Amino acid sequence: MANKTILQSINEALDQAMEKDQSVVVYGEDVGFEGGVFRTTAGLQKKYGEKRVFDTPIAEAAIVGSAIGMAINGLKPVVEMQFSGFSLPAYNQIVTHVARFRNRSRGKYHLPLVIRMPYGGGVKALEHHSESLETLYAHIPGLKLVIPSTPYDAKGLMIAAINDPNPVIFMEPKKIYRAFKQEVPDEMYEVPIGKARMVKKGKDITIIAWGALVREVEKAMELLPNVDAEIIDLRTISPVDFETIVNSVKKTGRVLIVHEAVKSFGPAAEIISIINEKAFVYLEVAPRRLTGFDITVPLPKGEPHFIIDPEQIAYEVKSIMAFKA
Amino acid sequence: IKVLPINVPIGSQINHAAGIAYASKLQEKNEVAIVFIGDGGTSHGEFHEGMNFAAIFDLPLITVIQNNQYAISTPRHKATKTKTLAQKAIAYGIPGIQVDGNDPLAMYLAVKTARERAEKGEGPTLIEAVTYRIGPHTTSDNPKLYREDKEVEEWLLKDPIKRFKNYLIGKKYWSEKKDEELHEEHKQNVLNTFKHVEETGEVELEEIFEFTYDKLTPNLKEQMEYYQQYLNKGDENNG
Repeated sequence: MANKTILQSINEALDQAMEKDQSVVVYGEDVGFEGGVFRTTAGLQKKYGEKRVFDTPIAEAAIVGSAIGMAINGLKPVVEMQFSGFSLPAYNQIVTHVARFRNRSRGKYHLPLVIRMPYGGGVKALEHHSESLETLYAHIPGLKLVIPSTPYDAKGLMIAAINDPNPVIFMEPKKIYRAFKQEVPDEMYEVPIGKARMVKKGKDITIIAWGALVREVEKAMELLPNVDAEIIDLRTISPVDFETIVNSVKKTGRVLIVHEAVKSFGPAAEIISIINEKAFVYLEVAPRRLTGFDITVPLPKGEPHFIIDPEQIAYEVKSIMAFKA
Repeated sequence: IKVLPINVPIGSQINHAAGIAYASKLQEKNEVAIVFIGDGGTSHGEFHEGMNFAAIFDLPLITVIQNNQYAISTPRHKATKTKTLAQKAIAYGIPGIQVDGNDPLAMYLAVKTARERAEKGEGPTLIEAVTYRIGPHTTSDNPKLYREDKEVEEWLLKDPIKRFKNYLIGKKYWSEKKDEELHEEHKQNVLNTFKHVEETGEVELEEIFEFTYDKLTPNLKEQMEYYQQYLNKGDENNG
């Protein structure tokens, strides 16, 4: 056991997976020699050589397209999109091929590959470096979408993603890459994909979040000591763990979903639909969502308006708790 | 002159430039489009698509590759197998020229020739400007990880600003004194601008919404008003 950041945990997961399994290869833009612009893959090329850890040209379609070929032919590629905003040139490959190969070949070919991408705002970046594009991937049948919020989960989910026989999109909350440390086991372990994490049990309201916002929700609830919230870290956006969500809402009767992705047609819309379908009669008040505005993530001077903070979450929770039918 | 905002998604700007050039041609505007890309950007699929598009329609386009030797940490020789970037023009059936990008007069001549070609309706030209990125890619980049100081020192000797200054002084068009004054003026200008931006606070809430569409949609209006209501509530609580 040692204290590690999310970034170190992902690095360790990749390291151990490469050590254990010769078929794991890691590549992308600046991923090899430099270890990635965030240094997530630092040290891997030195340890496993340039054939298994390498730099590519700036060509996202080539990165993902070649990963498809490698996965068909015996390798387990873990590729990086430098920022989720730059995954879009590869979107054609991801939607038209990555997601469909199993179905198209009637199960003969499957793609055990992982596409990593740092995502989310709050880092004062320029355009295309702050997006939360969960919906673009969660909407595509055949893909899994995983987002860790803690170092422990980051390692376990990455190992599970590499071992998963299905293609996994692995979004990394870059804002909290180095924000805090947590005890992480030295050995390899899996955190199951498709299972939400119960951050805190409670009876008054269910709050669902993922990525960097889980901590913001926890901080928000420190501001409201009289509200006993049940906090769920979704961890896997697709396939969604509806059982955990529904059981919680049946108990609390109130729900708030918090995400940084823009509001319209966003992940919360799907989650609320599930709640309406499966737990409608248990609701004390209409399900609520606190999300990014329906705009492009603003540049640094405007970004503070966009970023969701604990005060804002607390305000929403208070408003939901105050509702009287 | 239309100067477009910086294009962040690598390589996609070539297609925009081709479209601008197409519109010029169709409307007989007698304009020439010029588009810039880095050495790393030429590896992108859209570079090929845009260049091919511009070539087949003989569009009035000049594409300048600023070959500064590095795409963040990836050196030019690891991004393409070709000896030069200019030779990629062969694949599009257009002229490609490699120029000393640190020689303003050579660049002037190359662009002038390309412009004349474009104006005559003969199509696009690809110019590779060979230069060097002296500083880091961004504030989070550490070039010491991937290149030797010696390499940087060698390129500093080819600094185009110093070279051109020496040339102009040699021709008696310029002097050290004038040069110092101009440098000081620019330095102050940059520092003042920087200070001004630093001291400017957050932008108004309306500003992050107002350019999403021509008019604020009902949805956006509601979101903005709700947030404003939250901010006002905050004031009450504090007051």
